[in-house]
Amino acid sequence: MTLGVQVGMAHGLQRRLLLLLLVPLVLLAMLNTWFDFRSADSAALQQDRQLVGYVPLLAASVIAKGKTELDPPVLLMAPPIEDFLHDRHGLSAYALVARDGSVIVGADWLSGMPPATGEAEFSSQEFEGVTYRIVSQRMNTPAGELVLRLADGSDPRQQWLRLLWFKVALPNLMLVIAAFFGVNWAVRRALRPLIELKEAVERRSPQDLSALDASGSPDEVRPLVESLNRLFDLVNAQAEGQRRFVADAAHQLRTPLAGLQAQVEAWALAVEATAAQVDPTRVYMKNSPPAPVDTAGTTINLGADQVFKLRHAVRRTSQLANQLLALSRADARSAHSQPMQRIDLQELCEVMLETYLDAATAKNIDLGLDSAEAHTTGHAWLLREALGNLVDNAIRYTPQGGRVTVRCGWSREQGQSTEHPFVEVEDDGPGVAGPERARMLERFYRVAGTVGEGTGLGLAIADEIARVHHSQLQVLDARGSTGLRMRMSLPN
Amino acid sequence: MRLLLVEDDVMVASGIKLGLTSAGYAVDWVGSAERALEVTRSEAFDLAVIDIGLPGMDGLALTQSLRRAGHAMPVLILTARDALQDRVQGLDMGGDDYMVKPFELPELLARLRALLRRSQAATSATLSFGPLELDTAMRQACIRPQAPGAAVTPIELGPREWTVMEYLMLQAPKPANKDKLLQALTGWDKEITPNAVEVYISRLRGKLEPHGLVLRSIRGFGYRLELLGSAGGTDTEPKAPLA
Repeated sequence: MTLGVQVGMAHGLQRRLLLLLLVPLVLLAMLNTWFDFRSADSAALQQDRQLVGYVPLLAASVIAKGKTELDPPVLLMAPPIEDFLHDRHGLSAYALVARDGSVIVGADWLSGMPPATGEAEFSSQEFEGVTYRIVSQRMNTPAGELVLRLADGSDPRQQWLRLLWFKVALPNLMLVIAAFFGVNWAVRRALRPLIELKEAVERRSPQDLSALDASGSPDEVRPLVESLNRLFDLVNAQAEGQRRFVADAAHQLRTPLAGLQAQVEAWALAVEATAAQVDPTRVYMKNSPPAPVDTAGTTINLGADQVFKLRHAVRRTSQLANQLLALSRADARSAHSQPMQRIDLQELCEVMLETYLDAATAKNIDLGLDSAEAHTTGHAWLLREALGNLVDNAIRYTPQGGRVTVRCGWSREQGQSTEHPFVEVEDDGPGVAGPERARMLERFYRVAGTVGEGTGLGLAIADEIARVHHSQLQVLDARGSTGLRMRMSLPN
Repeated sequence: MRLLLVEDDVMVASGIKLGLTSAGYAVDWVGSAERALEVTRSEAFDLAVIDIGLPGMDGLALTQSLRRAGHAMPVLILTARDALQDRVQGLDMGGDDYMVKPFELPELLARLRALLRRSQAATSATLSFGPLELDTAMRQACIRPQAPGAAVTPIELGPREWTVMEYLMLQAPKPANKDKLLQALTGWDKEITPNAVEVYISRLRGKLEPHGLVLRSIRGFGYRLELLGSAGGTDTEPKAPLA
């Protein structure tokens, strides 16, 4: 299972939950708006019915014709009409309109063509900033057929239409927006254990395959954590099997290799002795003719050069087998099974100096020490292996006449509050360019253009061993103009 | 020189035996600790090379038993690299030096010579390194060239120069720690300074260099006695160049 899938899963789940919760909510809000609208509509119908009820009363208020044709008819307002006009003062009007649409009595603005039929007609009209509901009906009165008009500006339907947006749609919209944030927050909160699980998995180093803590997870997630842990166990077992295989293979290889090396070493020594006997003052020369070497009574003719090449190959193979073994032993899981010891770093550096002095002298390299009293807690043979690899590497890749320094002491690293012991190996060789520095710690990686003959494992082993000691191998610039400084900060 | 080799792996043992024989040692090889105890009851050896990982009784127990039985010969312990818990452990058990397998034969020879030199210093009066000989009883130093018939040249050494020389010879082919050298000298003079050591070293250099002996300075550590032209530890064999 990759992390990418997990990220997608968490986000997908979140999106789906949000969608499933918000879509019904929006639908509900729309339904609510529609119901509000409908109830406003029915309230308006009631008002229309009430308004039309006043029309006959208005007709009854016309008692007689005017004295002349030009005079308006005589009006005696029925009390309900009086009340209607009085209660809605300023928000109501009436008019008696002639057939040609002109106003005979009442508000002039209520002029207009009469309805075509005898049925009451409703319309809305705005006048002086007020929306009026107007009813018009033709009726026979004592003054003849007239069009009676009543206008009501207090009609709630008109208010509803105006305020519909603010009173119905806006609250619903606000509700939906608030719900969106609320639901979003709730979903995030509810999914937090999942997201935390995702982050816990993301934070892990590839080396760390220990079980995740399932106790803090919710019931629904626990099976997932448990399956993850089972998978970790499986991968662990597989990695452990592989590691053991490498360790066993290297261990098995070492025994015959040690024998082979002892044999070849003895031949080489015999060749050297023979060459020295022939001419004691002459140091052995590389391309001298094959010396007849007597081994256990059987004479073989092996070129001296071949013997040395053979010895060289065997030494390298032995080194490789040893390093493979060291690499598998440096694995965090197997290292932690052994107890840590207190280690004198100064003594360790001195042992390194003694061990590699001959190799350095052969290349005319000035191998020196710059050590102060320092102790650490760790695995002695692993640290010896790591530092040995660093010194070996420095001597291998520093040209003739160079300078290699083994150093130990106390120093304060960046971002640390206390001093820690460290060991480092500095050379004045050609150094390594920035981009290659990270890669040079990889197994079997060889820096391009180098002529040394390392196995390509030394630095990988040192880095692995540093990690076992909760540190890492730092590749730094030497203090001089060129070269590298390989440093391991160690626990107190 | 008679040497006891205790090693169970036939290939390794025969290789070491071949190498040591060609270097002039008389090698008796046994495959187990029990057999080694048996052999040492009747025979005397000048040196023992003992592998730790033996069937039955292991090499450390064998070394202890040998010491308890009163054998004072120097013992060099062979150990696998990852089995090496602490060098002190092997040395506490009575071993005089240790080597990590797989090793290079020239180095084993150099270590054995150093062990012999030290054990001889305890039993006999003569210490030697290359052509240099120190007669500790007479407190006389001389150069005895290896070529037959060459004249022996005496070398005059002051008392402190003698102490430094003796210490360097006992350490060789390992480098001698300057602080330890200083401690060895304080028996002579309480107010000795590190600079004084350099003075004696420089005087010794003047006396030894004409005879092909070098006192190499090891930066930050001390000094090492070497033969001119050799790459360090191999004080009699020429070191083979790596092909």
